[in-house]
Amino acid sequence: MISKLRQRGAWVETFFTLALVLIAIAYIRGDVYLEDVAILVATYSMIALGLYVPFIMGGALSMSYNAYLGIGAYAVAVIASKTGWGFGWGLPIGMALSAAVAVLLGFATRRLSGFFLASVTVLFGVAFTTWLIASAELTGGGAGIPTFPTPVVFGVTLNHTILVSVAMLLVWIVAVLLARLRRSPFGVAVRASRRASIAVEASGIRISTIVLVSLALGAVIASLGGSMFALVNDSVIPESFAIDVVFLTVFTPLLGGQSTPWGAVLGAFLVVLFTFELTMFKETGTLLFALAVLVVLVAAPRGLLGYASSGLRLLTSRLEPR
Amino acid sequence: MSGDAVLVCEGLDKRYGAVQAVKNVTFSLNEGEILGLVGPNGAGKTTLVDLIAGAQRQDAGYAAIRGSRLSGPPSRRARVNGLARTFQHPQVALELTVRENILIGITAVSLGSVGGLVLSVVKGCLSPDTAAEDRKVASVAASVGLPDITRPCSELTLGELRLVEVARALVAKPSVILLDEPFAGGDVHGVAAVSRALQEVVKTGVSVILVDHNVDLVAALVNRIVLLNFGEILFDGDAKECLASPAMQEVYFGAAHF
Repeated sequence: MISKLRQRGAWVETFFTLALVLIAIAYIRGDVYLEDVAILVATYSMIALGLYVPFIMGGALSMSYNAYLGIGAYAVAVIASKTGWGFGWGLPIGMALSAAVAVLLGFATRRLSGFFLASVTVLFGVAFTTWLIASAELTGGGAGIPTFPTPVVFGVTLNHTILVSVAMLLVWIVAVLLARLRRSPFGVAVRASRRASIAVEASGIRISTIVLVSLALGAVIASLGGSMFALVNDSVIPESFAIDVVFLTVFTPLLGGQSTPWGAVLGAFLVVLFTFELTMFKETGTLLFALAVLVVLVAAPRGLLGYASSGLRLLTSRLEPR
Repeated sequence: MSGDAVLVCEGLDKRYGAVQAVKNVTFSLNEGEILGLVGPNGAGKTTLVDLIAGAQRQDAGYAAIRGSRLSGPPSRRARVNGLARTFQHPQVALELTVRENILIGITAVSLGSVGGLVLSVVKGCLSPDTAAEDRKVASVAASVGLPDITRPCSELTLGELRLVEVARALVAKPSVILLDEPFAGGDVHGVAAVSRALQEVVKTGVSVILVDHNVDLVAALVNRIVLLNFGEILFDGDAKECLASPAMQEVYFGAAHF
């Protein structure tokens, strides 16, 4: 009974969000400016979704997501421009590399948590950008890789519009999958390990391993976002993958809501709205975003979606006959 | 009522600086037995449980389940040796529901290895629902007297949180369960429900060590008692004999029995 209701709620969520994404795709289609905004939203969403499992569910604040984003982007750009392989190889190679780096970094920092984990992984994120600029032979240095061949799949040239639409659909797919993962046994174990790690360990689950797997999963998602970002822009430059993208993204689930991955997506949308889109706020967008996060944390600690869902529950319980 | 020895502790020693918390502890737990481990506060009961479960490392001696010596972290002992435990201070994720907290006990087997974890990520994305597991969770929850398993654990009383822990231990179908003060903070119904659940579960061959400082409560539930004081076993035998023994009189002098 309960699981039936839960399943129905999940299907409603799935189709409602799909409708939203399809409407958005139809609305922005062909408008280059809106498409650029959309790819920013999609990219921030992918970083936020990458953070979702290890950080929001598991409580491990690893910050080096700019590196995974960059690995995904440069994997596509380097493979498309320097090898004869198809562009498609960049995506899985980037994801595998990111997962490997995340596991190594996670293993090296396995005894750290909270502030110290964040600090060390910020350093790694900064070091990654420095490395991108320094190793010019592979990455093109500070100028990056200005252009690479447009991807072609089965004879169809993937133009800007198609790639942006694919990126948006990928966000939808990842968010839907993570929403499902969240309530699966794995998701329950990750969420429980946040505050009752001793009990999870005593039940037979190795905490250090489950953290590494969540970090690898997050890195794979961020890397996919980076690959899409590079494909849409048809170029990569090191500045795009600086650590400040992570600073902005860390707060997105707090703003949007933590109880569903869609909170991360909503938060990413608001970040872009505040910091890039609203021209009148251009100078003060980041400040406004910080203020918005503070207001939400004080007024609605469970985030906008958490606030909305409890409002909805209140409304439906009023409407139901008692 | 008891069969062969399932859990054997041999010469277990644990010292914290100048304090000898557990001193040369040797005893065995038989199949299908509920063994009461009693002693006043600071007697070393929880340290002994921690040594068996792997939360702490002993200085000397060993513990073994069905002939294989226990080693490695608690997760390994739970998975490989079939050991389950509860905690003196309940370790329950408060923001999760009762169902989810108990579910942890069942899913540990599939989440125990790296391969299993990766597989469960894929499986969780595709089909996250756990109908079969939920039925087991619901039946164990009902057996310890936890009615509404959809409640978040933040709404539970301390006694109910202990019931969640007991249910999480039971649902794993372990061969040995270590219950560290499952009754503290519980009400009469909670005590009765856990007692009933334990009587049921030992019939299936599960062995239980029941830790408490309330000797009366333990003596009513078990046939055999191990009395611990200053880390040493002072008495190991029949529960009623233990209550009447000079050792018990001495340890609990002026407190529970006189």
